[in-house]
Amino acid sequence: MGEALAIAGNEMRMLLPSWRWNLVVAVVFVCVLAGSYQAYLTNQEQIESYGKGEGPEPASLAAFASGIWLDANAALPILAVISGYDTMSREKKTGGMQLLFSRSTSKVSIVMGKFYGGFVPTAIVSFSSMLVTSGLIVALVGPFSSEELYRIAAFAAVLILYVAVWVAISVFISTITGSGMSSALASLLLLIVLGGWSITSVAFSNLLAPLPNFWAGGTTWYGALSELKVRVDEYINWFSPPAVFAAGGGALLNPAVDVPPFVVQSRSPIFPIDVIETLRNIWPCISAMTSMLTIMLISSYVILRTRGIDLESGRV
Amino acid sequence: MGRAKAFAIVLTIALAALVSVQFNHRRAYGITIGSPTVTGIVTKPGNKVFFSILLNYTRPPGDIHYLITYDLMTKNLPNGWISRFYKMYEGNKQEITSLTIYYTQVLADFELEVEVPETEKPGHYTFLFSAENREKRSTEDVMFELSVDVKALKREIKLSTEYPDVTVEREGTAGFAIVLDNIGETDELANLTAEFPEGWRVTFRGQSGDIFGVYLPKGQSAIIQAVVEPPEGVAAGVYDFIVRAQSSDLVANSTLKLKVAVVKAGTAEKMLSTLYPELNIEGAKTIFFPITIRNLGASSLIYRLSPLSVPSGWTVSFRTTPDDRTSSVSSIFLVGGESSTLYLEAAPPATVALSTYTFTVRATSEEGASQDLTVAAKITGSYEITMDFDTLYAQTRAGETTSVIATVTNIGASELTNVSLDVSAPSADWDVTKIPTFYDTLGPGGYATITLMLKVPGNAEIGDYLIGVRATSDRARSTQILLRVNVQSASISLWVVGIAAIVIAVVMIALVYLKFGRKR
Repeated sequence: MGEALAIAGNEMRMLLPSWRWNLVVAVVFVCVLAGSYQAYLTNQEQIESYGKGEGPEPASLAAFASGIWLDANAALPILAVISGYDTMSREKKTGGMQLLFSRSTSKVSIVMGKFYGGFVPTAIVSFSSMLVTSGLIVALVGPFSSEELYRIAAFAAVLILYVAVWVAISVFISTITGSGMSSALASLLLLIVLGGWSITSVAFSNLLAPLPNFWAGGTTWYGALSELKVRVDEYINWFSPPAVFAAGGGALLNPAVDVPPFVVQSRSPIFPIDVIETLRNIWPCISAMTSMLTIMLISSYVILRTRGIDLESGRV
Repeated sequence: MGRAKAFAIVLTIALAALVSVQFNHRRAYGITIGSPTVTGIVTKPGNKVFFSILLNYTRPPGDIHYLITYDLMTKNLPNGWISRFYKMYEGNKQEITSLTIYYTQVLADFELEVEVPETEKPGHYTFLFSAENREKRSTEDVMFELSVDVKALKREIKLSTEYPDVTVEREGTAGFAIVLDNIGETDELANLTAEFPEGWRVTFRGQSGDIFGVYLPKGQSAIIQAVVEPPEGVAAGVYDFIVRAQSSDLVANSTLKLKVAVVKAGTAEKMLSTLYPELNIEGAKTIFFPITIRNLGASSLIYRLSPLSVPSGWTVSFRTTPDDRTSSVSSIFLVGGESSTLYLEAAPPATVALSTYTFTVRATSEEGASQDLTVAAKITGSYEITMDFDTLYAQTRAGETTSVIATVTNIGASELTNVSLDVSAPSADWDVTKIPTFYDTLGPGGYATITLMLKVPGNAEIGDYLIGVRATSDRARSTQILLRVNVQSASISLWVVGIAAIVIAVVMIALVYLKFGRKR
């Protein structure tokens, strides 16, 4: 543990002064300010519409969801990728990895140290951005009820788990790639592909279960294919961290959502839904992200262990 | 190296299997898919509808001894509705409440019967069908929504007669054999009424004597005798009658127009006459005077009709019926001894003062004989006021002021005076200001806006407050409108909380930068 923390400390000292990190941190807070202002304007429009008998009742939680959404789904995952994209590849390039191996540093400590080094500052910025958003919403729109505060606290935990997944993914990609640039490109490409998973998943499910455009209902093969398409469409979402986070986080920030999309509903909805009920409903999302995090860290460890050091060439 | 690779492969497969089992927990049990043949049915009150339902059960993999028992039920069924489940068993339809599927079968079909009460109102009703397995395994439960659209029963009755126009002597009576058919889908109790000229008498007779109502089962008809008696000294001419049959709830109704021609003139006979020489009208509305023109001679003649004097701004024309808006009449052909009724339409100008207005019209025959008729319309005042808000929901903070704009409209025919708003605030601490306080006058059709400034007390508790507002004047008041004001805590305290959260965030990041922001 001591070795891991020492590596994490060094990693943070490398990360925080870098211009790339500070640029993305600035983008995160610009997104927070822009999102909060947009949420304030939307809230004013909602008040006007609601007074005319249209639209939902304005609520501080809805304004918070609107204010944090861009930040949570775009800026913070990019920050997480930036935090971990060259952790391993940089060490390979500079010979730091050889030094660590020669000191007999355990590979678990190396992986966890690199992960902590990216995750801790990203988690602090994520939490800070949520605090700033909450503060602006309270000042501009109005206070949160206790139920809304519980929901925001639960969302904060899910958001930090989500950025941890992206840090772990970028550490993993950094482990298998040779340079920081290729690691960054691969991580960002993955972020874009998984971010647009709603389009990709439909394409996959259509590919696996091709259905004609016309309705040919009543035949056995059409029913079987339809069923397969629905199942593929449903399960394929579990491979995308953004899709899983959007489903779970969206349900936390919107009490009108009973069970998030593509999560199997096991009982009749009972409204209003309290935060405990929502947490039970989104438990598959939380366990899926925990599994992704664990798989990524173990995979990084396994690759690091299997590759070892080629002492003659000095390459890892 | 080989052992490490093998370890990696085994670990990955184990994790994949774990994740797969976790997300695909349906594999732990069987799966039931329920499919109704029809999910929405249209029916009428008092009917029964049937949904054919198929349950398709897939056993857990490898388990050949599995059987499952479902409790069948409906949920959220509207009040008064009854549901039952039936299954064909050895050629008989048997009512059931639960169902067991054995390992040898995968399909079970049965029927859901839903009985709609006779008193149900038309509309779209939804409810849930549920098959819950007794072992409480959620993946083996089935629930889906079914709907029933209840259409209204047809309500229609029809009056008819073979001879709607009859001739009668001045002292005689006219009789009509009227058939009343119930062509609707419910039994009806029809009340009989008649519109007839002043002085005339109309009675309805059934088999048992004079009647004023008829009970008609659906699909049946009744014959009613309508007896029409003219008053003494009735003038020769054609008189219109309207017989009306209508159910007590006024849904089913029918009218029948009848005419009675009095062929021998009485003593008070005139070429031009009206039953209503003076009408009182509330507000500026178009007026119709029924005018009867009689050919007092024996030969057929054309009579020309013309207005002689009309008040300034008014327009007049002659119509065959009050509903006729397309053609006006300027002359009429009458056979000797006959008469006809026309309507003098008098339309007021856009603004009309409260007063009595007289109209004189003239009928001139081909032979040059003419007669004038003067009728009068008395316009009386009407006072009505309405109010509307730009919004019914306002959000503000304790100690602050919010404003809403009320639009007050005079929809009456008379000028309103001292127009203002009557506001009932939640408590005396609320400061309510009206800008302007009142309007001296507001003309017919006119509108005015009043801004309502609501200052919430600084110590007001957070929550929603309802404020009743109505428009008032000396002669009329509008209905009360409730304004909802959402009060939040004072803005300063909210800003303090908000800035405190932001400061904590800044301090957290600053501490991280101070500790790790420089390379060693």
